[in-house]
Amino acid sequence: MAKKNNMFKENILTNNPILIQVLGICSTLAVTNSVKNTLVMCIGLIFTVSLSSFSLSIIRKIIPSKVRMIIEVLVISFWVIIVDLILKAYLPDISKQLGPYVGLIITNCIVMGRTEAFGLQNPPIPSFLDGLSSGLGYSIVLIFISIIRELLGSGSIFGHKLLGSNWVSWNIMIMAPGAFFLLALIIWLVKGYYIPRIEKNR
Amino acid sequence: MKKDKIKQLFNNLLVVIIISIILISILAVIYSFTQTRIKENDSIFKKKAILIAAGFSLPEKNLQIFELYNSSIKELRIRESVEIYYFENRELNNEDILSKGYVLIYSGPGLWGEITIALAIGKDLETIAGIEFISQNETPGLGGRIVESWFKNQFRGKNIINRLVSEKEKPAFDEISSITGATNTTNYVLNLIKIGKDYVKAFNLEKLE
Repeated sequence: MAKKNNMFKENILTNNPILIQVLGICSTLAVTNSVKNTLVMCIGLIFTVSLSSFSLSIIRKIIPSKVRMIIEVLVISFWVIIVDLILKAYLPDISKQLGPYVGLIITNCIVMGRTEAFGLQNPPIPSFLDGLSSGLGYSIVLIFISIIRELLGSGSIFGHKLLGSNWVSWNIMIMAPGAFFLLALIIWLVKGYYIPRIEKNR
Repeated sequence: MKKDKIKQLFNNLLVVIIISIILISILAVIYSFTQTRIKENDSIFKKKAILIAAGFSLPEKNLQIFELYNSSIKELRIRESVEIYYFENRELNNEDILSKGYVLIYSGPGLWGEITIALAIGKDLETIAGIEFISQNETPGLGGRIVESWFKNQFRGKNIINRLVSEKEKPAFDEISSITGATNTTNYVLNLIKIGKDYVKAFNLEKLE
């Protein structure tokens, strides 16, 4: 149990996939200009990364090490296609908005990274939890960025206008460079302030 | 030694092939389950777009949308690069120019990629009844805002468009409010409408009926 708690703490805080491992940056830049899209992307990623890790962990003993990458990609794309089909069938509006980004979950480094680093060495349940917590760590950062970007870039959250009509939107926040600056600032804060304090405590 | 290597290679291949076959067959099953729904979604999406462009107020339930579509839209030319539909809006007075007309669906250039648009033209073949976007890849949050209703609605009833004004100004009868930060995309939309009007002239719509 303590181990599980540690895992969550590590993947969400001290070893956050975006802030510390700097993985999955392209989707961070691409989808975070509206909170709604980000939320769906995050759910899609959590689903894919935890189930990919889980299913690869089940078959890890029969996978020859030379072809393990091919099989990882196969399994990951299998889950991504399922996410895509479900979105198309039951949430067509969101699927239209996310467009090609759902398919691009396949290339999200977090999925491949977690299955390679953890899923292939550990039993199914811990692998599932590792995927889940990594996905959560990713989601928290993404949602935080998307709230700031949508608020400054469009003056709204979830499409509801929050800042008055006098608000002048920052167009830079809507475009990918806005996310770059924001993400860099956050990484700087976390790495410069938060992490050294943890290290000291140890 | 060599035999071992070949055996290993064969073994690796076998595992990959077996896993692929299993995954693909599961996907095939899921695909066949969701396919009807996906097709239905696509068709209702297009029907909605045609109705919105023609200025109908949409009912909530899908079944009612199908009914409205069947009773007021006639498909004149479908499964072509330019699709043409005839509409009759019985909610409007018969003398209203926009009570009857045509909806054209076609694609043209946008800033990043093709934009597919449904353009509805009144019975005088000049006045715009409305526009609706079927697909577009404009910058989300900037050019992508062409899908917002305030932008689309301002085209209804417009005949000639001479000028763009800024987003905050109220456009006059021959003006369109452009999206702040996305003047290029706005111009592409205007160009698309021009293309559509050329199609209207080229196709001799009354003969199609």
